[in-house]
Formats: sequence, structure tokens, C-alpha cells
Amino acid sequence: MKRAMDIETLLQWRRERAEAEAPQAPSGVRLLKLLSPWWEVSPNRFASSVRRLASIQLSFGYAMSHVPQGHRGHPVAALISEGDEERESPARVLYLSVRDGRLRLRFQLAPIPRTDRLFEVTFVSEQPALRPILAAYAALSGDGEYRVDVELPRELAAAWESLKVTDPMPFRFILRPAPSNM
Amino acid sequence: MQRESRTTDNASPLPDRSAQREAKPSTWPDAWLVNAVRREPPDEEALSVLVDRYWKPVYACCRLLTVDDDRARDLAQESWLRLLRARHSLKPDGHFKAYVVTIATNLWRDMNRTAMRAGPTADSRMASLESPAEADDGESMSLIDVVADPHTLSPDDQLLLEMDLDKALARLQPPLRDVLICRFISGESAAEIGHRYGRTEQTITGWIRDAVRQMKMFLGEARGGVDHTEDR
Repeated sequence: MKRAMDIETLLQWRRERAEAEAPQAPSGVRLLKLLSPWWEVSPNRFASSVRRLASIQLSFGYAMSHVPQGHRGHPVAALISEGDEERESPARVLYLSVRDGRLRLRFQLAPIPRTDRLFEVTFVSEQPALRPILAAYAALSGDGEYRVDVELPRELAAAWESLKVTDPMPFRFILRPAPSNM
Repeated sequence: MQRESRTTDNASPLPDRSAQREAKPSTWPDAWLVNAVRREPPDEEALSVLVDRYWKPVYACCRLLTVDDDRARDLAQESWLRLLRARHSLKPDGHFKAYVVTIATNLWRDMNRTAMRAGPTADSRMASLESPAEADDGESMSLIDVVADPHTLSPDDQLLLEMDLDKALARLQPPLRDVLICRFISGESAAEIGHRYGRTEQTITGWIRDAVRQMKMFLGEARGGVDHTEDR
């Protein structure tokens, strides 16, 4: 028997089907493991990346000559870490603002990666030692800049509040490509 | 205002300690589970029960938004991770399912930020919800001509309809898909959606009508105007 269908009814039916087809839920243990920062899950990998990050200083002058000119902002040592491969990729911070406990930051990589539209950025402190202090996502915008917008822990918000884009940055980056197609 | 930060009071009362000790976590009301997850470290069993309880509806919403199995699973899982990162600010008396679904929807919008900011770029003809869709040749075509009641279909035809629906949803621009799902699945009003987009209620009503019109047209194209209920 025919019955008038409307889009709402069809969508509700599709929702019910999707619920019935849902994959198994992840366990609490698995979620908590995923929640751990990658440097805790893979401490050896992090130590290796930090060693490489520390060495960038030696060739920094050369590396920064590859950054596009004409922009304000201080260069930041950055390492792109993907699978077993790591490559240096000089970054330049173009905009930085800390207000109401949020960090808004724009940076550029040279050259702009062709495929990586989203990075998980690990901020690694410069002083007193290279250690992870913050993780956030950076998405590529249409104008070739990566943008970060993240809530800061209280102590970082206080420490970075007066930071200007022209100041030497108190951090380096480890960039890990993240899936951007959800 | 992000809806994530808003909670409504429809959950169970806060725990009676002795009753909580005696009951299995699988029987706990949301408020007890949320309290256990807020602790440091979070209670793994309580978290598993909470995820089990709401995984399917959250996944289903993600499936409609992403129109892809793998992306839906990733989005649903990432939504739970976001919730866990902010677990200290969870409110035990909140409407938990709506809260997680809102996180998922916000995440998906973030991933489609450019398209969402621009809004629909299609022409915004104000087709009425009640008006029939127009076929390419201009002849009117009501939905009953192209889609039958899914419950009356054979399993094979249900699968075909499911695929056609997915294709039609995928063809919608992200903002139109968003408003359609917010309105018809999440039950938000046009005013609430408009508040989030910074648009008037009237504009959002127009987007919803446009989305409905396009869905009808895409379904009509996919199904070639064939009524699948014939002789069944």
C-alpha cells in the first residue's frame, strides 16, 4: 500500500538503519588509551623526534632562507613526522594572539605540503628543556596558512599572554599529519 | 553559543552512595556514570557503559553527516575523545546524548569550516515544504512517485533506497546537509540553527526548503521516477 513519504520520515528511517549497522563501540580502556598524548604512547619515538628537532638549530640559517619572504614573524624550528619518516620544514609564525585563555596562531611552512591539510601540532618548549607542552590541530586555509585555535592551560595562557608575533617563539613544532576528511 | 556548553536537565538524580555500590554500572543512570568518568583517573567500566549506551545514536548521526562508514566511525570516536578531554566540566544532570551528538556535529562543521562559513551557494528558491519537486522537464513530481514507504519494501529494495538516500545526501552542500539533519534528526528549530549560523530564521527556513527540494530532485534522478511499491 502506498503512503506519502516525506524527507523527514526517510531520514529517520535512514538513521534507524545506521544505528542498526553501527560498528561495535570502542571500550573505555581503548578510548582512554587513545586519549593519551602520542609522546606517552610512543616515548621512544618522541625522544628520537626531539633529538632531531634539537639538531635543526645547527642548520637553521640555511633552513630559514627557504621561508617565503615578506612576512613578519619569527621563524620556528619544525619537524614533520609521518610514519617512520621525519623531515625538517621551516615554519614562520604569521599571527599570534592569546586572549581569554585561547591561542590563535597562524603559521606557514616552506614549502607548503601538497597533501597534508591538517596537522596535529605538538608544541615543544625551548626552555629549560625540550619537552611537550601543548598539542593542537592546525588546518590549512585557502591562502596556504595553517591555523591553530586552541584553549590553553592556565599557566601557558599567563606565560604567553604578552607574546608578540615578532618575538622569538618559546616553542618548536613537531607536526604529525592528521586525517582531515571526517 | 556552541550547543556543547548547554545542557538540559532530564537525567537521573545524583547517586545515593549505598545504592550505587550495590548496583552494576550497566544499570547506573547517566548521572552516576558521568560522575565516575569525571574522576581522575576515569572509571573504565563506567566509561564503557556510557559509550555503549550512546554509541549507536551518535554513530548514526555521524553517518548521516559524513555519508561514509569509516568517516562516521572516526568522527564518532573523536567525539568521545573530545568529551573525555573536557570531562572535568561534564555536568551529571545534563542531557548526555544530545551533548555528545552536538560535539560530533560541531566537529564535522569544523572539518567543513570553509563550506559552512560560505553557506549554500546554490540559488535559494523558496520552494515550499508542501510543494512538489520539479523534474528536469518541469513536470511536477511528488515524492510518492519516486519513493515508497521503506517499511513496505523487500530487503534488497531497502538496500537500494538506502544507497540512493546516501547519494542524495552526499550531493547536498555541507550547510544544506547540516540544516536538514539538525532540523529533522536533532529536532532543532530554524531559529536555533539560525542563531548558530548568524542568519535569520527565515533564511534557515529557506535553506531547509532548498535542501528538501534538492533531496527530492536527487532521489527522483536516482530512482528514475519509478515507484518501487508496484505489485508488492
